[in-house]
Amino acid sequence: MTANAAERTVLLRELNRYRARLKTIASVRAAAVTGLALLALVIVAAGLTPLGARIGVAAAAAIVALGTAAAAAISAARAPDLMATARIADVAVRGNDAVVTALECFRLRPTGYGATVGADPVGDLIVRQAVERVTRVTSHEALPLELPRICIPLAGACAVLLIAAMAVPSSVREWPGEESSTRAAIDSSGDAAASRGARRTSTTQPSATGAITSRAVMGAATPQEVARTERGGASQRSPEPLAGARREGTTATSDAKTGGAPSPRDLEPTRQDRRGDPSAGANSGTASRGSADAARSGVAAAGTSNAGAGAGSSGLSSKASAGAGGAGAASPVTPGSASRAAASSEPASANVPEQIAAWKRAQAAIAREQVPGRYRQLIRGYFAAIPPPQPRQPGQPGQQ
Amino acid sequence: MTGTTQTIEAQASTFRDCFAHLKSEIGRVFVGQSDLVDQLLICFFCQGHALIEGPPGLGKTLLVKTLADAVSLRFARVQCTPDLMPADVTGTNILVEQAPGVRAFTFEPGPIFANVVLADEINRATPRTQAAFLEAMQERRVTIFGTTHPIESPFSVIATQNPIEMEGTYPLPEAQLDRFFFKLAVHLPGIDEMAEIMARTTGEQQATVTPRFGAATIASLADLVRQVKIADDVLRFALRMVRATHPNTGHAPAIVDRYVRYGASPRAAQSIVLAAKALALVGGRYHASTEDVRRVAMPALNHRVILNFHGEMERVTSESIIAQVIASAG
Repeated sequence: MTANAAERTVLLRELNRYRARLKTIASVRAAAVTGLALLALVIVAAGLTPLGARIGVAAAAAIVALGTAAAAAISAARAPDLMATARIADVAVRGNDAVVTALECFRLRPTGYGATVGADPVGDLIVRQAVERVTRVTSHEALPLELPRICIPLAGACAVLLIAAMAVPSSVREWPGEESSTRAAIDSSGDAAASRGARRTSTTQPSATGAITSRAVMGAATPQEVARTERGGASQRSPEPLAGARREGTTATSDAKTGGAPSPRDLEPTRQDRRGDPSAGANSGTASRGSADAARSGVAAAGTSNAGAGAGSSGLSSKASAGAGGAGAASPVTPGSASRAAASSEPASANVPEQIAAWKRAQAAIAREQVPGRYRQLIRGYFAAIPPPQPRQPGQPGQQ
Repeated sequence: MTGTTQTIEAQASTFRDCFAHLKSEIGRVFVGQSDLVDQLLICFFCQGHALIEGPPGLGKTLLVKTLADAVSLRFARVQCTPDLMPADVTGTNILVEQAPGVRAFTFEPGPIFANVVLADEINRATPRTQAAFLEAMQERRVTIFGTTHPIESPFSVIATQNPIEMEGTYPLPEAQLDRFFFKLAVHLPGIDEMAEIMARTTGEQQATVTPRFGAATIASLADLVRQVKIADDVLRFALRMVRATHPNTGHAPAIVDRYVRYGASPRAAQSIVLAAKALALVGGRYHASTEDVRRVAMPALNHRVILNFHGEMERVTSESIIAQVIASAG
């Protein structure tokens, strides 16, 4: 190999080094930008949206790592060819287009590299000058690794978001009703029974201060839904269908005695659900299904018995004969219990006009204010949750 | 391709020596304006023709005469006037008595057959006489009475013109302007330079120039210039620049579309590339670079851009247009 051929080999080797360096730089830059952007997105998702709250740290780290690796791989795959590398190297070593011209001198040789060495003395001189240029500095010195400028604001944004996410309490970050609806959707995975059970609580139990609970806002709907809620709520309390139905009879009676207000025991599953316990949601779903079975068996067993219509606290449930009747049918029908049921149905029946009135008020308000469709459900829930103040009748037990 | 790498290196070294020698010799007589001297020498080594424009008294003629004195070449000067005839430039057949009673027509070459021709105040010559320069400048030959006479290499016509005295002048037509490799402008020197000029020209001793390098050397160096390589990227950069001087081509900046009637010809691109190659040799390189192209674009283009009516009325200069063209080309 002649000296000129050796110089050409050196030039090609150096160019390949520069190319590898460019690959590395492109990969690192792309990885840095993508990683920071993904990190910011994950922080925003985790901190500001309820869905993000479900993303674990490991999953977030995996997302960031995978995205970063993909960006690096794509950048490496899109590395410049040898001529583009020569152009960049020319700029980096201030070669005044020496490297590009030298590379073209290779290509202008019709017989290929090395076969006509010495036939183009000017080309050989250009190659020599190019080799001197590119070997004077290493590729690391000529092409220093500099992160893109956007990395600094991105990193700053990530830091600010991280601090904000840690500083702001979780309750502030959620809209009213957001937590319950999202978690209920996640927990039950389509199990409507659990959410109906949750709505039952809200429709029958306004908070002591009169404020709307999130469940009330999101849950309450039409009177028919309220009735369905009653059934779901009744069944929710009994994981075991038949036993639950039996207990439902006694519980309904006790509820009726207390004016239809649910006992603290009634609220127990709801609290679990509010804490986001998946098992609670699952149990609720199971209980709901079991209750439905119990209701069907109740229909079969007791026929048209409507005595337990007031099993739930809502008077509307008396119009829904099958489910509620099932609950009543499961309990042993004795004259005493029948009379207690009839007695307990009175305050529940008194609730019916209240619900209907709330429904009418809501409809009127919706029509008057021209409420958009997406907010109508909230308005209905509001009117259902907060009944107008009524004078307390003597002898009627007060609400808790 | 000629010679080996050693030969090429030796020729390149000679080129740099010659360039430095000419520059220093000119600098002994002609004060300042280094860029102007560089551009004139580049034009000279490319075997191009230069048009030097400037007010009277700035040393245009002195510059060309010093260049001719610094090399051992034949120099001729043509003072262009309205009554200058083409035959006064090209030469003619004259009846010569070769022997007693024997007379024959003999070609008597004109001043155009010198190596360096100074056409002083060329815009004062009539168009007919100006046209006499055309064939010589482009074809490097003269045809008289059906006989073609080649002009020896190296050959350069360096013309001067005065831009402020337009009375009784015949501005060069665009076709003839395009024959000039470069158009160079002589600017008014500064106070220090003028003081130096006074010191050199009003004293007892006059600066003298030592000639060196003959015609053969200059011709071989001109050949060497053509061996310099130019990468495709650099070439396309030059071509983009030339293309951008034409209005409504999609490559031109807005000022070209607005003020230019016609842009530079491919001959301008030839000038740019050749000059860039010569500049590369001056810089010790064997390849022309983008920076070389940028540096030679202005003198190569500024007489080839023809302004339209709006440009003339708004007194837009071709220099300002070309500056934007260079910037827009990349």
